[in-house]
Amino acid sequence: MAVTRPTFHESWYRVAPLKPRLRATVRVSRQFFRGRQWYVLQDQANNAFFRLNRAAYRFIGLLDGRRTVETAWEFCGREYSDEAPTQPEAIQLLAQLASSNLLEVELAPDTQGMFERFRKRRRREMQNRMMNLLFPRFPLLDPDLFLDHMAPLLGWIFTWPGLALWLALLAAGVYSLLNQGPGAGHLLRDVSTILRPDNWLLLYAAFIVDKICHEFGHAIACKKFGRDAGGGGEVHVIGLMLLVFTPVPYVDASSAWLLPSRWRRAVVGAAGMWVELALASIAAILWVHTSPNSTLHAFCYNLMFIASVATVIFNGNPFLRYDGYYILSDLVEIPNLLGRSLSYAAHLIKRYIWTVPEAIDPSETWGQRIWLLVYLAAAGVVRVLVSLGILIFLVRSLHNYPQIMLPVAVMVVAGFAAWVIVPLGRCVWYLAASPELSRRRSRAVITSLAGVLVLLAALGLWPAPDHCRVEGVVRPVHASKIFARTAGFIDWTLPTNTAVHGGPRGTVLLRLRNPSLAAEQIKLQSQLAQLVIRRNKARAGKVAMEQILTHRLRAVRDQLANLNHRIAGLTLRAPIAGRWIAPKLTEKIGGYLQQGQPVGRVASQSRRSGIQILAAASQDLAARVINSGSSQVQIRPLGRPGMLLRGGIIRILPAGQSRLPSAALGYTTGGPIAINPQDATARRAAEPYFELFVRPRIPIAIGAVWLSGQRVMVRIALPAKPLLWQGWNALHRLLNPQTGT
Amino acid sequence: MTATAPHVWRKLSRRVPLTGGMEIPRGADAAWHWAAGAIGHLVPRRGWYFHQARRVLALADSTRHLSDARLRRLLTHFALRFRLGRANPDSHRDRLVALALLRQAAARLLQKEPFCEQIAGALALYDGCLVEMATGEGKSLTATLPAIMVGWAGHGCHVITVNDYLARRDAEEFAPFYQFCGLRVDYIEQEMEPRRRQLAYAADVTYLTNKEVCADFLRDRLALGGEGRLAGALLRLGNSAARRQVQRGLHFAIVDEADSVLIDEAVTPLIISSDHGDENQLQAYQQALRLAEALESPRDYRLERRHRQVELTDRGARRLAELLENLPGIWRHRRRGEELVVQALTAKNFFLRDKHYVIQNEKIIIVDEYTGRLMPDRYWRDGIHQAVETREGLAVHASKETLARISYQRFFRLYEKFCGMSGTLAETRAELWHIYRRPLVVLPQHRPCIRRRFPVHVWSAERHKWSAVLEEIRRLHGAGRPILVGTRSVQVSEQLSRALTAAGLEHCVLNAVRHAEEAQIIAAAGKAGRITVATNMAGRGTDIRLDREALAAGGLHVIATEFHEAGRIDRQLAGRAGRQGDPGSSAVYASLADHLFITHALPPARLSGRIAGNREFRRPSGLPAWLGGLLAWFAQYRATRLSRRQRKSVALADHWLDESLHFAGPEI
Repeated sequence: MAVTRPTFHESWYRVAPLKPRLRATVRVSRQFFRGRQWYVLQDQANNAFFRLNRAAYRFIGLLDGRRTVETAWEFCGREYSDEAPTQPEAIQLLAQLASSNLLEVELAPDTQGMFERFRKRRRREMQNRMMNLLFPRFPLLDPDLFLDHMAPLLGWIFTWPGLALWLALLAAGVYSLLNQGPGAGHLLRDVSTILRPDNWLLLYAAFIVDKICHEFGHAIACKKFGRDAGGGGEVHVIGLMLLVFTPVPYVDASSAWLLPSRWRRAVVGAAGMWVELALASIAAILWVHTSPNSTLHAFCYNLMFIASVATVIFNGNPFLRYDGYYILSDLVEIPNLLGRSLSYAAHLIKRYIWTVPEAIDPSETWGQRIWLLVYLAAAGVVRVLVSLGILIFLVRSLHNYPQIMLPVAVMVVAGFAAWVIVPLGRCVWYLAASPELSRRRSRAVITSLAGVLVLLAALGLWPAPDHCRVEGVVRPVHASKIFARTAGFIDWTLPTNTAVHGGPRGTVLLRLRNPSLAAEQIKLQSQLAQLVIRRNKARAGKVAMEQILTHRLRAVRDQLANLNHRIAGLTLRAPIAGRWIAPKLTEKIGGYLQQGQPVGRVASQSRRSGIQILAAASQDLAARVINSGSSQVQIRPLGRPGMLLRGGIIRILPAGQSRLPSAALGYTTGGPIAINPQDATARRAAEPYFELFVRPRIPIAIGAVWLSGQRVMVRIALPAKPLLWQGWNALHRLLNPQTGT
Repeated sequence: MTATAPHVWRKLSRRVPLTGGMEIPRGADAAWHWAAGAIGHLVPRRGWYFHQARRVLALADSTRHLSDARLRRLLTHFALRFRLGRANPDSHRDRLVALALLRQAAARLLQKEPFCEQIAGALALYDGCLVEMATGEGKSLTATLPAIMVGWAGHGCHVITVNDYLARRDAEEFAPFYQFCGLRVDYIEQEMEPRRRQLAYAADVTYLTNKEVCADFLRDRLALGGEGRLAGALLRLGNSAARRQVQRGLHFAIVDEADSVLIDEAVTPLIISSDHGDENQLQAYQQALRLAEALESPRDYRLERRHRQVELTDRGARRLAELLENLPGIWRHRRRGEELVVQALTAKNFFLRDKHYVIQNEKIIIVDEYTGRLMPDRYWRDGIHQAVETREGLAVHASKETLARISYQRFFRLYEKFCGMSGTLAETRAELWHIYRRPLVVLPQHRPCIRRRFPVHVWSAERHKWSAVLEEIRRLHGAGRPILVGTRSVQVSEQLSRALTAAGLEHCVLNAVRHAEEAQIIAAAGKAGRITVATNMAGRGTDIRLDREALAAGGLHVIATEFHEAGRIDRQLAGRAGRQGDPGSSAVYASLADHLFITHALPPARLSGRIAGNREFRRPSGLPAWLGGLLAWFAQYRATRLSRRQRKSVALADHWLDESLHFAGPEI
C-alpha cells in the first residue's frame, strides 16, 4: 500500500485490549518548541526522556490503567482526526515508552524477556563504548545529594545579582590584563610556549581544574533551576570521559531537559562556560600580580588560556557538539539540531530527487527549515575546517615529536573510520538495502552515482587556481653596508630607521672617539712645528741639513694627513641616500669598535631601486615553481594580511644554498625552515634550499611599512589544476614530509 | 480436580517463545551466519548419507530370511531403544539397523523396497536436513521411514502435506506399515472437530496440512488465554483448558513440498479471527470506489507493478482533496479518506477476477499465485478484500478482528526439530539456511532422467504464442503423446480450453475452479493422447503415471505457457515429465507481453513487451532462444530477489514487534 500513514496494523490485536498507564515515577512537563506544544516525559529512575506531540500525549494521557488502548485510540481519533496517531504509530509509541520503562501494564511481567532485554541493552552499551573509542565515558559517582547541599549555597551564581558580579569580575580580569604594565609583551609571547612538552603537565593540571569547575557549573545550574521549577534537576552521574586518551570529568545534566523555559535550559548549557570565564578572570588577576618565575604564575597563565580561549573555541562553538550546540538548539527550539538538519537534507533528496513517496519531513515550520539548512551548511564547513586544522596540527607536532606517532596514527585512523568510512558505508548500505527505497532504488542509485561522478568530474577535471606559499625577508635592492673605518669608542649615533642624505656631505651616522689618535695628532703636529723651525734655522747655511729636514718634514706631514684621514673616519656619513638601519647600535654607545667592524647599513630608499624579497623555498616547492614556469606572486607582510604587493620572480638560485639569508627564516626564530641543530648561528639550514628573488611590480621604497629584514609571505600562483590533483599532491606532501638529513 | 494428562504437562512445561528461540541474524552476525552456511555447504553430506545408506542395504540383505513375527518383534525392540532418545549410546548404529529392518518390512507390506536414495534421504531427514528429491522419486515412502523412527520416540511426529486429500491418502496407504511397526497413524482434515483432532494428534504419526497444524496451534494458545505457562494454566484455568488442548507439543515435523511451505507461503500469516461488524464500512467502500473512478491513471495516480502498489501523484492528491471536501462522516479525515481511495484503486488495478480470485457462492475466494490453488480461508489485508468485494457487488464482510496470528516462517521454527523435502530446493538453499538453519542435501535421481528440454520460445506478441502452442499441441497429439499444458491463471486456462474446443481437440481442464477432481484428472493425465490443461501446481503430490502406449509414443510432453516468477516452479512443472527414468519432454512458450516480462524484466525489455502487447504484429516474430532464455532468467532473478527481500523484511518486522511489544505479554 502506498499510503504514508496506514490506519490499521496487523498486530493491533495484541495491544488493543491492554490497559497500560504511565508509571507513577514519570514526570511530565509541557514545553513550547517554535510555537508548538510538546510534552516531555522523564523517568526519574533511569533518566530516560521522551518527547510527545499534542495528539500523542492525549492518547497516552487517556491511558489511565482503566481504559483499553482501543478505547483511547478511538477517542483520540475522533478528537484529533488526521493528527491522531494511527495504529502503527500508536504501537510504535507504546513500544518505545515500554522499552524506556515509562509504561506500566497490568500483566505478569515476562521475566525471561526482561533479562533478555537487559542483556541486549548491556551489549549495546558495550558496543557503543567500543564504537566510540575516541570519547568513551565511565560513570563513577552519584553527586545528587552533594549537589542538594551545594545548590542553596552556590545557586546565587546564576541569578541577576550573580550575573552583575560575574560581569564585574570579567571586567576586572580584562582591566588587569590591559594594565599589566611592563610585562605587556609576554601575554602574547607566551602563547607559543603553551603547547611545548615541558608545559604539558601544568597545562593538563589547569585543564582538569577548569573542567571540574565547568562540570559543576552545569550541575549546580541544573539543580538550582530544577528546584526553582518545583522539582527535577537531578544530576545522578558524574564520571570520567576519555577525550582523545585524556581523562576528563563529565556530569550528566540531561534532566535540564525538563525545564519548561528555554532560556533556563540555555543557561544550564552555558553554566560551564560562565564558570570558566569567571575562573579565567581570577586567573588573569593572579597572573598579573604574581612573580613571573613562580609556578602559580605559570599555572594561572595556563588556566587563563584554557578557560577563555579554548573554551570559547570549543565549548562555545555551536557547530561542534559541545555546550554551544545545545545552547543553540535550546534557543532555536529545535532539539537534536544536527540530526534533524541531516535528516531534513536527506528528506529533501528523497522527496525531490528520488521521489520517495513515504519520505517523512522531520521539520515542522518554515522557520525551522531555514534554521536546519543554514545550520547544516555552516556545521559542515566548520567541521571540515576543524578536522583539517586538527590534522595539520597533528602532522606538524608529529614532525617535531616523533614519539607521539602511535597515538596520532590511532586517532587519525579511528577518526577516518568514524567520520568517513562509517557514514559512507551507511550511505551505500542504505542505497543497497533500505526497504524505504525498494521502489525507487534504481533511481536513487543512478542519481547518487551521477552525483558522485559529477562531483568527481568537477574536482578531477575542472582546473582550479593553485598556488604555494613561501616565506621570505624584505631586502633593499641597493644597500650600503657601513663599517667602522677607524677603531674607536662610539660617541654618538643616529637613531636607527632614520632617513639620511647621501654623498660626501651626507648625514652623519656615527661618531667615534679615539683618544690615542687625538694624542698622536697633537704629537705629530708639535713634531711638525719643531721640524719647521729647525728647517728654517738650517736654511741659513747648512744646505745638507736643510735637505734632510725637508724630507723628514714631508714624512711627518704625510703621517699627519694620514692620521687626519683616520680621524675623519671616526665620523661615518651615509654614502647613499636612504634609511639608516642599525638596530642595536644605540645600546653600544661608549663601546669600542674595531676597525672594519660592521655597524649597520644604509638601505636605498628611492622608489627606483626599491625593495626586493629574498625567499627560501624547500626543494619540492621550488621544483613546483620551476616546473610551472610561473613568476607571478603576491606578497604580504606576515601578520598584516591587508597589505598586498604584486610582483614577479626574477631569479632562482639553485639548490645548494644552506646559509639562510636571514636568521628570521630559521625554525628557531619562528620561521618555516628547519635549522641544522649543530649550527650555533642558527643560520645554517638543515637541508639545502632554493633562493627566490622577487621584485615587486611597482617599485616600493623601504620605509615605515616595508622594512628591511621584515618577514613576508610570498604567494606564488601556479597554473590552474583540478582540485583532486591538488589535494592528492598536498596529501602526498603532508604524509611524506622531507625530514632533515 | 483430575490429574493433568502427561502430554499436556509436557507441552506446557516446555514453553517456547514465539521467536522459536531463533532470531534471524542481522549485521555482523548475519555475515558470520552466512559464512557458516557457505562452509557448511561444503560438507559432503550427500556422500556421507549415501555411504550410510549402502551400509543399510548391506544389513538389509541379512534381514530377508526373518519371519514376519520375528521382524515385528525386532521392530518393537527397536521402538524401545528409540524411546531412550539421546540416552541411547548406540543411536547411530540402531538407526542403521532399524532402517534395514524397516526396508524389509516395507518390501513385505507395501511391495515397495526403498532404494538407496530413499534411505539416504530418510537418514538426512532424520538428522533435520532439507532434502531435494526429484518429483516421482517416492517422497511419501521416504518420509515414512524417519516418521516411524521419530514416532518410536513417543512424542509424536507431524508429516505435513500440501492438502487434505494427500494427508488422508498417505495416512491410509501407509497405515499397515505403521501398524506393523507398532505405531498408530492418523490424519487431520479440515472438517474434523476438536475431539477427533485430539485423537489424531495423540497418534504416533499424524498426517496433516500446514494450515491445520498451525491453526490448531493458535487455537490451543488461545484456549490457554495467552497464559502459555504451566503454572498459570493449572492454577487459574484448572484442567478444563488443559483438556481442551488438541495438540501435544511440536516435536518433529517432516514437511513435504518444503519450498512452497517454507518459502512461498512463509510470510502468509495464519490468522484466527472473529467477526466484528461495522455497517458504515460498506457505504465507505462504495464511496471510495466511486471516488476511485473519478481518478485517471497516468495523471492522477501511477501504478507500481513490481510491488503492486498505487501511488497518487501530487495532482491526484489535490484532486482527491477537492472531491473529499464536502463529504460527511469518515471522509472528513483526509488521511483515512485517501487511504480508502488508494485501496480501491489498488483493488481495481491489481486484483483481477479469475486471476487473483474467483467468486464461488457469492464469496471472494483467493487463488494462490504460486500454487494456483483456492484458498477459501485466506483474506487480503489492508482493506483490499473489502474493496474487491465492493467492486464485485458482493456483501462486504466486515473486517475481521484478529485474535491470534503467526506466519509459517515463525511457526516452523517452533518445532524442536523439523525437516523437509521437495523437488526443487537448491535455489533457495541460502534462504533456508538463513531463516531456518537447515542444511540442504541434494539427492540424485534413482534412474537417470531422460527428459528432453526444447529450447525456449519467446514471441513478441501473445497472439503468436498461443497459435504456436495450439500448433504444438495438435502435432504431438497426432503422435499420440499425452500432453500437459501449464497455465498461470484460471482465466488463461479457460481461454486455452475454449481455443482447444474450437480446434476440436478433446481435453481436460484442471484449474482452481474445478479443484475437486484434481487427483483423478492428474492421475489420468498420463494416458496416451490425453490433453490436460492445468494451472501450474494443480495436482501436486500426485504422480502422472504413463500407460504403455504413452510410453511407446515418447512419454508425457509438458508445455509451460508462461514463465513463472520463480524458476523453481517452472522446474516443478517440467519435472512432471520424465519421472523415474520414463521418457518425456518439456517446452516453454512465452511472450514478451507475459506478466513476468512486463513486471520484472529490465526496462528496455519491459517496454518492448508492452509495445508488443499493445500492437498487433502482422508476422509472428520470435526471439532467439538464447536471448529469450537470458531475459527470462534475469527477470526471474529480479522477481525472486524482490520476494526474498519482502519475506526478509516481514521477518524482521515480526522480530521488531516481538521485541517491542514485550509489554503486551507473550504473543498468542
